[in-house]
Amino acid sequence: MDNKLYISTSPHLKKANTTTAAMRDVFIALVPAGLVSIAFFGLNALILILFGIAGALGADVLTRKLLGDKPTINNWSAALTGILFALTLPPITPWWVALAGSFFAIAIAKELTGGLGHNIFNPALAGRAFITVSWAGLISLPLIPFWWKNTSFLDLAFLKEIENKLSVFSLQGGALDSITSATPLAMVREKFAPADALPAEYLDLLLGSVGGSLGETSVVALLLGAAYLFYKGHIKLHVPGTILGTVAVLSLIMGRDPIYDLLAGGLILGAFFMATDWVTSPITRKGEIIFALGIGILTMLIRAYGGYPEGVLWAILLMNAATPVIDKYVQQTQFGTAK
Amino acid sequence: MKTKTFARGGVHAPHHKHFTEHKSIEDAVTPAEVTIPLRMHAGAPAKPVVEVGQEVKIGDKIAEADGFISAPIHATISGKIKAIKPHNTVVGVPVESIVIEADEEQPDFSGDNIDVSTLSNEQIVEAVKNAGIVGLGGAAFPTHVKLTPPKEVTIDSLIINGCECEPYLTCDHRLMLERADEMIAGIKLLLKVSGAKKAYIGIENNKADAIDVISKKISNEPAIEVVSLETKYPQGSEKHLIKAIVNREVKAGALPSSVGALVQNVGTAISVYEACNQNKPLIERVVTITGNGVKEPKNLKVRIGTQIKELIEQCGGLNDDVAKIIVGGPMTGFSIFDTSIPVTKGTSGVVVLTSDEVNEQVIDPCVRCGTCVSNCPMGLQPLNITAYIGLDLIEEALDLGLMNCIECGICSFVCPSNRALVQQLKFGKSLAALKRK
Repeated sequence: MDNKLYISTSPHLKKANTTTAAMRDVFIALVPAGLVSIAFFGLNALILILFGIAGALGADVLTRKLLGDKPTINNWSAALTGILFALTLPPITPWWVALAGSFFAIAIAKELTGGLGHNIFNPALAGRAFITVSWAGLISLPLIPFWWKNTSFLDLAFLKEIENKLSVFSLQGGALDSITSATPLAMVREKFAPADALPAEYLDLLLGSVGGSLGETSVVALLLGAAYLFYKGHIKLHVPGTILGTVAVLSLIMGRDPIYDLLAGGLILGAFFMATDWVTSPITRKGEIIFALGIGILTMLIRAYGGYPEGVLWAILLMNAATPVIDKYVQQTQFGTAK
Repeated sequence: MKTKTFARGGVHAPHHKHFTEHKSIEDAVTPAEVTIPLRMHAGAPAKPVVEVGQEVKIGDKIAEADGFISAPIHATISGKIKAIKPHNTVVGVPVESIVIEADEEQPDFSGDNIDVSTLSNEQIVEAVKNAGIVGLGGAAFPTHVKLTPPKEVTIDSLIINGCECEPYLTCDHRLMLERADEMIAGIKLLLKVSGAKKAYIGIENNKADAIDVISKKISNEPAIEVVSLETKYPQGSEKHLIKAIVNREVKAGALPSSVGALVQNVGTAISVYEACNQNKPLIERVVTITGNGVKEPKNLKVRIGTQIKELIEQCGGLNDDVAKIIVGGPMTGFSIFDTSIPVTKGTSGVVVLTSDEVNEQVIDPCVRCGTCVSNCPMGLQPLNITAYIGLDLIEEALDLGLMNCIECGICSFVCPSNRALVQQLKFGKSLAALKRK
């Protein structure tokens, strides 16, 4: 026989799923939200998304070259981190902050902690944390989208004035210091203090006409992407479901507005796209539920008592740190070993 | 009929049975020469009782069992002993084999016609033992050993394995359709000798015609029941079959008899009947030769000792694009490079894959997705066990349940990073065995 034959040990069949295809699918799932953010926030959003992806890809190539490895941008993992990171940014974010953050996400939080499969923290969130701590003042100003219905609780003229003074490539430090935070969640927090602050309408949050980060705006676009991932079998619903359920219950108990808490602050983005990340979440179903409960509880604690309206970011990072412990102690009963 | 299954793990793999599921079993051409390995069953290899040059008739004993857990071997053609020498086998290691050169005349095996209802339990076991019957599902465990458990063990459930969960294979399916009467007669003998109260014939629901045919034939047999099972790999695994049908979990390291169950393959049941009814030894079996790499896939009834290449010839030969030849099923079978390897008592199939069907095994890092964990039918964590094996930490690997792995191959099958998980688990088991010595 002339044929060369393959010899290997069994199994000789393989399901057609690959890690690369999964990463690519998650990227695709985020495109609707990306497009909506560009529709509402304009050129800024596009620039941030592009720089986010570019920074991530560049970090992959450069860092791996320094380490003596080939680039792995073909597995879509860096590109995915890039777009996910960009979606956590407020539209006002300077392009170089986006670049620095996504570079940090891949170079430090992923490649230098062992590369794909070995990082403890979600790289996109690690990047977001890095820029939040480093350049807080630059990224907590909202940009009102080009149409806005409910202007009664905002001094639109004042904010328009600020907007005119700003351009994507330059900043005026002085004017910014006096404006602390004005995202919808911050406004809810303010609700219990200043009497004239009102929450944005739910529909605005669903459709995307609210100030905030790129990815926290259109819940509909995000859920569309999540549905695609569920259909493809890349995510299961017990993690997002537990997070949303925990947040809703705690919000009720705390006397807050649960629908608002569910729709705002990047919770949907975090629950469906960050908490479901394979590498940084537990490997057992029971472990994942504990992980999700922790995220829900921490999110609400940080929102209610902490200084960061976007508690989801910190909640997920903290539970990422807990994941190795969860995996170590959550036991599975093997077949035939039940007492 | 309600469909049962086992709860945890398992995978719905494409079953590729369309090649041969509707093709009746054909008799293979009697070969001009057979090469019969002395070790083709679990336990000690058989010892030859013939010499080179000796004449043998079909069915004559040519090797005797060596000890209790062993089985005798019989001539599968009439002819002259040409040689007793090592020959290649599926595991890549030569095994001492008896080569018989065929006579011109090839009479069929003709045995007695015994009324099996007159046989005592001892006579049944003796007939099975003398016939060299071993499990035809692939493990080739000597059947008479399974039929003589220790005195303190009671069997209440006889389970007949008609699952054939491996993709591509259809020999058991065809046997159920074409030789149901003999199978049922064999089941009755097994019921008697085991003392079981009930026999369950477990059939995966992708064989609806077999479920139908058998159900009708046993409609008047109160002690025999057909159970429809979800088509899910590895439903045919002994432990999972027992779990699905009688909902008992065999403990790690224990035998099915410990939960009162006895499992036998459908082909084995037929052979048991033939041994009791005709004193016919195990000299032939059905093999499915299939896949896109072979021109005319078929189910052939083959004399044990026939070389694989002869079976392929009878199936029209290989296609131009052939990349892998597998003996057995594609999830647990052996890839071969030498088609002179003979069919043994445990050979259920020959699957020929083309180049685009072969997994090139380009491996990515583990991304901790947990797919291997959620699909493992034994509830193990392959990613962690293999990580320990890779670091040569065998004790830690054993603590995580390495020896509980049934080597079904699901972990490697589903891994999105294409990691060699079960391969490393098998390697780890051999490292553990070495350390024990």
